[in-house]
Order: sequence, then structure tokens, then C-alpha cells
Amino acid sequence: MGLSKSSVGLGALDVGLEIHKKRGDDIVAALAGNPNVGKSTVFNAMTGLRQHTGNWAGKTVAGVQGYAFYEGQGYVLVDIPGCYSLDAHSAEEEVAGDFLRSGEYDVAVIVCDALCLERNMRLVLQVLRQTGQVVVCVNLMDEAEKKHIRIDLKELENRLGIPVVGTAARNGSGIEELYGAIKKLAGGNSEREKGAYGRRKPNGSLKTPEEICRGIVKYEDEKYAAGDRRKDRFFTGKITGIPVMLFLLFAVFWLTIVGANYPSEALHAFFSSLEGKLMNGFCRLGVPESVREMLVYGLYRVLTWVVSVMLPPMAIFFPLFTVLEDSGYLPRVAFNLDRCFQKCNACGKQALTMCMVFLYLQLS
Amino acid sequence: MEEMGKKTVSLDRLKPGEKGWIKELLLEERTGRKLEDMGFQRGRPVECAYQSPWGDPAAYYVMGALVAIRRGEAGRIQVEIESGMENGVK
Repeated sequence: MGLSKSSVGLGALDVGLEIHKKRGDDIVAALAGNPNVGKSTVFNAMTGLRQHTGNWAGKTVAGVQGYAFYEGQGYVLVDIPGCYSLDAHSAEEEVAGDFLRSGEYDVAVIVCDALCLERNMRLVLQVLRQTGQVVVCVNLMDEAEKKHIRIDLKELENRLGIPVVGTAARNGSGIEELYGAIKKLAGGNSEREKGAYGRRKPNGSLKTPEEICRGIVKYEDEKYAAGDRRKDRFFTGKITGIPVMLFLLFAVFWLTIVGANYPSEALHAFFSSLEGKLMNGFCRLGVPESVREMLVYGLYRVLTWVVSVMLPPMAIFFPLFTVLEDSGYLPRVAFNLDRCFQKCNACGKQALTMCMVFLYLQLS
Repeated sequence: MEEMGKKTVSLDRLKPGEKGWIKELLLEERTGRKLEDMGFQRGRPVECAYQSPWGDPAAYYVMGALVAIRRGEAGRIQVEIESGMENGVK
């Protein structure tokens, strides 16, 4: 889904999620989890869809549904907005909480961040109090490995009493196992058709997140984050932060504005060369001159002008910004600039919007 | 303050690299709960990771995550620190 009125407008907040099954025996799996743990990436890996993912918390506002067919079994996957707990603090969390409480799913997949498992455990335990139909998906295992964090998934499974699957959704690893765990937990078709959730009983007797995670996460290298820290110090430091940011944003704008000139000119030349032919064509068709001129000098010329001026900068700017976004630099920009935005009651995230406004001002 | 060598200050007094333990959140319920969900819970160790170029907001390591909050909020989180740890803070 794109940014449409129904996905971002007021209506998006109170859509009760309606499940669209294709077949009666489809398994409905709800993907929930803390913000920024890669739920949408897991969702994409499972469905092959390209729902937009980003480094911002709260990318998914209304629940997004996808359909997957895997090894003879249909799955309706519901991407639920990220939430830290089931008590609603925000519109997204309310949607998430309502859906998880509703029990309109066969299996709830709680996606966790391997890098801060304990914090994620709070939601897992809350959901477990509602239903026993839970699979825990520990995502970002590749990141954890990079940072020399070992997670004992088997032991976690024992302690929670529910299936635990490790994934690295970005490169698709663990997705097969996740499907397997969901299918196993959802049970056979006949059981599912009874429609009763909680065939596995909710478990309220579990301990605190702290006790659950004790000894499960091992930091093999205490200085694991040293590299990240150095990078962050550089990008957000007192002396380096602002100049580096100005340089990067300037580079993006420069590439966009200067770089776009060449394709712009080429497009313009191409469209102009067609103008004469178009005119001749209309001539031969016997279109009266006034209509001809209106169509070619009016409609065609204006339209192609806009395309040749606007298309190249957009085709350059947005991919460049995507690179910045994927590298995780944009949250650092927000962090650097928050103070300035705070003064006018906005927040640092709006820096992105400002950049776009600036680009359009430059273009016009 | 009560114990020898320990001291209670607000979280925004921590400089990058300094560590403390969260004692109390003096925030209105909504914000407080949100911060708790994000890892700022009683008894947790917290470390100031860095401050933005203007000194506000600042990022903290808490429960394995890096979380940036504004001074307004950090100022209302009480943390216990070892007395020797703060440098230049009265």
C-alpha cells in the first residue's frame, strides 16, 4: 500500500482489521513486536511483497495484510504496527493491542530484536497472558552475530514453553523454520476450523523478562559496540556532527541539482525533436490549426517540460536518500537537529521533510 | 546520598561514558510508561552514550538498546551514581 488517504488519514486509525482469507484452511498469522525490530522485513521475506520498510519507528500504521503460499499451505499474514506493550500509548499501539486481544488469528508471531531481547520480552510475556498460540521470532540474528552476541534459542524455548525461531529476515535465513513453527502450532485444518484460539492455554505464570533472559544472551566480546560507537561519535559529535551532516546533505543536493541537468537536457531535446513530427502528423490528419497548436504547443510542450524538469531530480534524489536511510544516518540527522526543531515545537524527524521542501524550492 | 559513595542525580547530568542505575521516574504517567517500555526501568543500569552537538537530546544505552531522549525527560529520571564518577558536577 502506498501513502493514500485511507492509509494515512484519520480512517487509518480505527479500521478494525478485517481478515481476508482466500481459502477456509488458510492460517492467519499476526506479526507483532516492538518498533524497529524488522517486522516489515520479516513480513516481506515471508510474502515476497515489497511493503515499504524504513529505519523509522512506526512505519506501519494500519495493519497490512499479505498472502503467502508455502509448501501447500496458505497463510494470511498481518503486519501489525510496532508496539512496546499492550497498554496503548499511541494510536498504533491501540490498533496492535486490540488486534492481539481479539484473537482473530491462529498464531501470533512476536518478532524480537536479538540485540535487545530482554526489552522485547515484555511484550512476549504480555501476549502470552492473552494466548498460548505464540511463536517468538528472534530477528536480526546476523546483526547479533556481527556483534558477537550469542543467544541460546533452545533454552529460551524451554523457559517460555513456546517455539522460538532465529531469523535474519534481510537475507531470508530462518524463514523456512518460521513457516514450519507456525504451521505446527496452528495445528490441522479441522482443529483450526473450530475457530477457537488458545488451544494452547495462555500462560500467566511466567517470570519477569529479566529472569527469562538471564544467562541466555552472552556477549562474547564486551567491546562489541565499539565500532558503532566510534561511528556514532563521528556522526553526532560536537565538532564533527554538524559539518559532516551539512556536507552529506549538500552532496545529495548538489548531485541532484547539478546531476539532473544532463538527463533533463537530453529529455528536453528528445521531446522537442518529436514536436515537429507530431505537428506534421496532425497536419496530415487534417486537424485545424488552432486545435493543432493548442495540442502541441500547449498540452504537449507543457507536459513534456514538466516531465523533463521534474523526473531526473526525483530519480536521483530519492535513491540517494534511500541510501542515507538504509545506512541509518537519517535518525542521526534527527538526533543532531532535534534541538533546533524543538524550539518550534517540532521534532528532529521533520528534518527529512525540510530537506524535500528545500529541494523543491531549489527546483522551482 | 544515604549510602556512602552513592549519589542521586537526574539522568541529564550524566556525561557520555558515565553510568548509573535508574532509581525513579518522576514523569507523568503516559510518558513514564512509554519510557519504561523503552527500557528505562527501576534498577536498570543506564549509560550516557553521546549528546547531540547542541547537548540536547542525548542518547543512552539501556537494556541493550540505544535510546535518545530530550533533556526535559532525562531531567526527570533519577539515577544513582557512584560519587567518584561524576566529573565537575556539583
